[in-house]
Amino acid sequence: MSEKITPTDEQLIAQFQGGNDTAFVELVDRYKDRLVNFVYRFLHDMTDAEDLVQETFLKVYKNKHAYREIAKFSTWIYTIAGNLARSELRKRKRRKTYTMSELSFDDNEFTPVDTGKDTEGIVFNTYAGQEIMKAIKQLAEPFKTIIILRDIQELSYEDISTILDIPMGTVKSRVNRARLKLQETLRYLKE
Amino acid sequence: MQNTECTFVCEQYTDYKENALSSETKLKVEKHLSLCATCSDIFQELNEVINNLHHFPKVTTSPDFTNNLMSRVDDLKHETTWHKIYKSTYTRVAGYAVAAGFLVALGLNIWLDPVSTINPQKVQGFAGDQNAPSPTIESLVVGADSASGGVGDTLQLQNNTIKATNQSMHLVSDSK
Repeated sequence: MSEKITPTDEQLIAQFQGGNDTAFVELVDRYKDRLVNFVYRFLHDMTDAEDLVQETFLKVYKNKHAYREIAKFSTWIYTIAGNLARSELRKRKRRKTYTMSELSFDDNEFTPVDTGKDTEGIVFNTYAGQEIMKAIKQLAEPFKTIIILRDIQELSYEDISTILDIPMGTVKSRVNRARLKLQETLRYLKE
Repeated sequence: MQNTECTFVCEQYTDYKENALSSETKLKVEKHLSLCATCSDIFQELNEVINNLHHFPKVTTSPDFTNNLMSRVDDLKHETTWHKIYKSTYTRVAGYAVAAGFLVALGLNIWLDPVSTINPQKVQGFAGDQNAPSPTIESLVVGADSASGGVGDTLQLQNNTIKATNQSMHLVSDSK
């Protein structure tokens, strides 16, 4: 019996570049949840996060020939999503709707997200889940991005270095500092 | 953290956990951890933080995510050329350039001819000058008289011509 070989992301994007739209759908299925998890940690709104991930895929669709196999497909798509998320945050800041809700830490922010769509709402009701989310939000932007990419998305240092366009040494030191900051913030939970 | 050694050890946490330290540094860290309860606690707490983050609840996209996306992709495929032009950045940039050009032209006009552009009512003879007094016949005659020839002379000449014509008519009737 012949074993079905799963194509790599890079093989799928190559097929898509050759005109095979099914390969694009396969890439969407592989990355939609990972990307929505990534951008949701910045936007804190499930609808906005889904919209942004759709925009990301549309950009991939429109600019499929811009991808060259010098980088991994995952780093390319994370870079696109990260740039769109940053741009969305800048827009929100300009609209002044990002001020208190993003910088303060009232409990209202942890109203469960639509539990029909995800399970996080349930977990947010637990005290530890809320506190961890608060601690992540409290981090400065570079540390927040790095902790999400490393410890939640579990990407490699190399991938993070490519996505954020910073040296690997900087990635490692920021990961360590971000972890220490989280540990400090969450310490009072144990006291 | 208590002192510089504690700071140094805590900075090594990630590399220590990922077994990326040199054997010498690793020994140094382990020796410090065995003696320093504070750093030992911090390492323990960091392990818990990372464990929590690795098992952090994941959000998932809605069931119709892919269908919605593919219908947007279909819209993209059927987008007309004109729509693409309308939506393109270049078109927007061209629009801004035309608007900027218009403003520059207007600015130049004001700069070169500020009176007529900014306050046209101050210019004599301006067609849109609604408040200007209507000219009278006298003013026109005076105005014309002040020029060479003048309307008064013309009127006098016309009277003389009429008289001459009348005389000619008398002569014609006499001859009959």
